[in-house]
Amino acid sequence: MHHHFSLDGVVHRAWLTQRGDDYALLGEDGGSHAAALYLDAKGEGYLQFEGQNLYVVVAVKGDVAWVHLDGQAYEVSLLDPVLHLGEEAGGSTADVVKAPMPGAVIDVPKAVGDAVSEGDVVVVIESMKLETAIKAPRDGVIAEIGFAKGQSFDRDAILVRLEALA
Amino acid sequence: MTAFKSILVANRGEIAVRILRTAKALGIRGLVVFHAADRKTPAVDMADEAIEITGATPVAAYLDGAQIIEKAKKAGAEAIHPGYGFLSENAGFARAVAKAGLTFIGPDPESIDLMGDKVRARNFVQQNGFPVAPSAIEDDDPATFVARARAIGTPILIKPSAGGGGKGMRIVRDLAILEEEILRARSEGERYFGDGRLYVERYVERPRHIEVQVLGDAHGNVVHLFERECTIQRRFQKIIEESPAPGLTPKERKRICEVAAGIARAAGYKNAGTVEFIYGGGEFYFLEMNTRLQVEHPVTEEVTGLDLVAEQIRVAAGEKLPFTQDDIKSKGAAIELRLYAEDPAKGFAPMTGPILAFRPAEYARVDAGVREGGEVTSAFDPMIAKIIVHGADRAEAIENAQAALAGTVLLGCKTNSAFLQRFIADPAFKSGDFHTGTIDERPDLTADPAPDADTLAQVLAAAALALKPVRDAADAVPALHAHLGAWRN
Repeated sequence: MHHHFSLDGVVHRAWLTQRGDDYALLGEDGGSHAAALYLDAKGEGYLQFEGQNLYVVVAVKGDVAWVHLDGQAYEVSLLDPVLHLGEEAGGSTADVVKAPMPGAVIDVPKAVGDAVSEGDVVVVIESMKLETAIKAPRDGVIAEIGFAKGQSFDRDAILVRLEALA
Repeated sequence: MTAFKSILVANRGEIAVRILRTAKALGIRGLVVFHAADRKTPAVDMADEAIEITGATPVAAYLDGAQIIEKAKKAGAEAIHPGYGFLSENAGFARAVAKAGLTFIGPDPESIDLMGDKVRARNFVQQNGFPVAPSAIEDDDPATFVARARAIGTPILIKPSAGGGGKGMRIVRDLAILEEEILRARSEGERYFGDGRLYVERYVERPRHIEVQVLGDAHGNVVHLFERECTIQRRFQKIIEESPAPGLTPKERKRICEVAAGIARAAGYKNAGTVEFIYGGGEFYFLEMNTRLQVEHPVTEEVTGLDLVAEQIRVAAGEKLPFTQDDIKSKGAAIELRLYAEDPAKGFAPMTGPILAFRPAEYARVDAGVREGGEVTSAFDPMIAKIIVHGADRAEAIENAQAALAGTVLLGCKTNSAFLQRFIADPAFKSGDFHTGTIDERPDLTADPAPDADTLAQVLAAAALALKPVRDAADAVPALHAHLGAWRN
């Protein structure tokens, strides 16, 4: 299991888990880091990371967390799991692919009625300055493509729907 | 001071706050006009009275002189401070304010007119014996313009007479293409300014932009408040200013400051103004005079210990300057860094967003136009704040600047803070060896480098712990299973 985070246009995978009274961040490299966050009501406080206390200011808006650490601000977006889970599990029975965040369609290589194989690119979107290929989550026939090239969409909008399995 | 009981600020953002602060300190009632887009800004919060103005666009509201004067009169203001930008260099507005029986806190309309026309200003400076770059003005004799331009010798800079902000400017290094470039510059001038008149001058390679703060009163006194180095620019806009200018010898410094005061004196200049020069290879030439308070005036305040807005108000009230040239001393070094909502890696494109957190560094002067809960919109210039530091010398000021940038928290909108931190840490800035094109030459400094592995893990950990869906997912799995999960991973 992983969450997908976007930072400066790069996707990072990580998972948060309980460890003792606190938590640990499991990174994509297999690393595990003991972590706890102590913030006041204004989002100011300490990140306890591997036993060090690091001054941070954190602000959250929706699925985006802004972190001020060591003099710099970082914008971390949590991406919706639907899209990435499909990719990772190597297969899914899902009929729909939803938009992980607001964005715009920049290419639609397939059309409604096309037969697709799992992993075929159906729509290419741009979100958070990041170009992402939306792939067919399984073999099937395209029943709906939510948006035409150039159109923009909100988070959770349905980008692609496959015909239901019989 | 009893000159004015009440002043209206015809501006917004950080400069409105700046002016209100001095009004308050002088015991003057401070009023401000605001467009609805600026309702959640500190100027509106701190004003004794905030008066809403309307317009087709937010900018149009702040440019509506008639509406602002009417509101000022109705509210009982005795004087109007225009700040910078908007109506600050509009002679018609200055006249209308006077006609309405109010005082315009700035120079005479005649001075604004003179210096607002680049060609007239230049002629005036030259006729009074001050240095201007070898040049040719089209209006003098359009028939011989190209020949006169050719005679200057390369490199040549072509500028629209009515121009500003770098628009329509062209550098010619090869005389073979001079005529073609003149045609293009004319078409750009017509497009941007509705005025195709041109002038050309000798272009200074690796130029530095140095300006001098001047102050005059209505009793014939004019002083300079030393120079500011404003060479570090992107998209023809300054982003770092400092005083003293690191590249000047004491002799050059004295000369440039005296020339600036001389120009202001010749113009009978009253109130605060700035004489801008281009400097290179030991030579300097008059560029233009700005007849208003500058964005970067705090640099001068930090080295001289003076309050420029207070002096502006006193002069406008007809008082004499309370000091002579000899009384004004420059102490230590000061640097101003402009914090912009922009992405340096994308050509410094303006960014917008909510101000989720804004905590200015406590040990610096931070002149800000936003507050937490506010927003950076595309309606106005994307400058968020000015961070101003002082040090015993330049090295100490740079250290303080670094700490002040790192210690200023702004979350919710991408800013140029990380870029500024990299830039002032670079040897080119530290040594003082730079020119107006330095940022363009250093694309290596504009892109944010990827964070190292430790920093990345720390940032992701903080974000993961702060984001509810992530924490919920962790809490949903009991610790023992979570541990197995980790092990399996």
